[in-house]
Amino acid sequence: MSSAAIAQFVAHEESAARALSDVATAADALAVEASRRGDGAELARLRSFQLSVAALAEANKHRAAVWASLAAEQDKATHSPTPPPEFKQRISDAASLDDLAAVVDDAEIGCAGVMVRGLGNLAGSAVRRQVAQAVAAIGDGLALTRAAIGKDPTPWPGVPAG
Amino acid sequence: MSEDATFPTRRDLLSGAAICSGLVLLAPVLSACAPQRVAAPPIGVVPPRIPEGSPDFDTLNTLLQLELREIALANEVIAGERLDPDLARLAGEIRGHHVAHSEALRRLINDAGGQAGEARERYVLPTPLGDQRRALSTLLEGEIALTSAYRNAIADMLTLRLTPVLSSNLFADSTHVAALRVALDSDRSIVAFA
Repeated sequence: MSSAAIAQFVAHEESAARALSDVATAADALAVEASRRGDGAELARLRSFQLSVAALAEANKHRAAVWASLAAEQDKATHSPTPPPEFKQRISDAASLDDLAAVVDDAEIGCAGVMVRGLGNLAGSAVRRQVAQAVAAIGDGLALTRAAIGKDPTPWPGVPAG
Repeated sequence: MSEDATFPTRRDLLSGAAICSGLVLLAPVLSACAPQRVAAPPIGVVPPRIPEGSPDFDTLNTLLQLELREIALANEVIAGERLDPDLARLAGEIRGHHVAHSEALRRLINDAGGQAGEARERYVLPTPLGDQRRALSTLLEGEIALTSAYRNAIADMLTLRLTPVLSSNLFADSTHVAALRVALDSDRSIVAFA
């Protein structure tokens, strides 16, 4: 049961990392547009956003590797996690920084959500602590990313249902 | 090495809470300001019955008191009129989340067959809070103590079905830590595990 929950974490972390990489590319295109318009303020927001998104994606990749190794340690069973949501269409349809920021919110909250729900199936105290640290890091990173572009960093009283 | 030797125990958690509430001077509390009400965290569980005498009740009541203390602290920060409007709004939002968390914890304890502790008439708070920077720093210290208590509780909890509610609260409190760090122009690095 534990390793099935952890396999789900891996899938979501990897999916979020891919989505954020696409978001960063899309933000580049918006930055070119903002530069062409001479909109320095929007350009600065986009650059701050890109820096934060790159750091969030790195954190996703790092955690995905940690969870994968943890699942491998726990048992050798193969689990087929429920596929995480796809963000490609939303990213390609994004017309503004706000659209991209909403994708980042949803991808990261998706990761936090599977961890919050999965915790109830994790018997080991050490693993639960590590998952709690991951949930905290996601909340922290998301708030920093939102603050970097002038959005309310604390809109959620808890992890929204995914 | 056993997990008990590596990680803080339930007793550590409780003594941490005692240190937290043993700070400086007395300040008026919950009755001072009507707290902003917001919806409870959307992720929840059907609360299981917890065996009578389980240490989980102590842990949950400790978290409840820490939440209530943070509400009292946020009330003090807001009542001091020392904050810029944006920061006052942030403090109000943080307070609202703690009200929701404390209500969720109270329900959890009572529904699980325990008895949720009442808000104290007064909490020991590090007042006077001083200027805006000091007030926000004090609020940040409280948030850091809360996130630490939640991490310990999630690791120690015997009733695993309770952990989703605790981790959902932890998520929100971590956003508070980040927002206050930004407000104080402090460290903004993004990490994989916090």
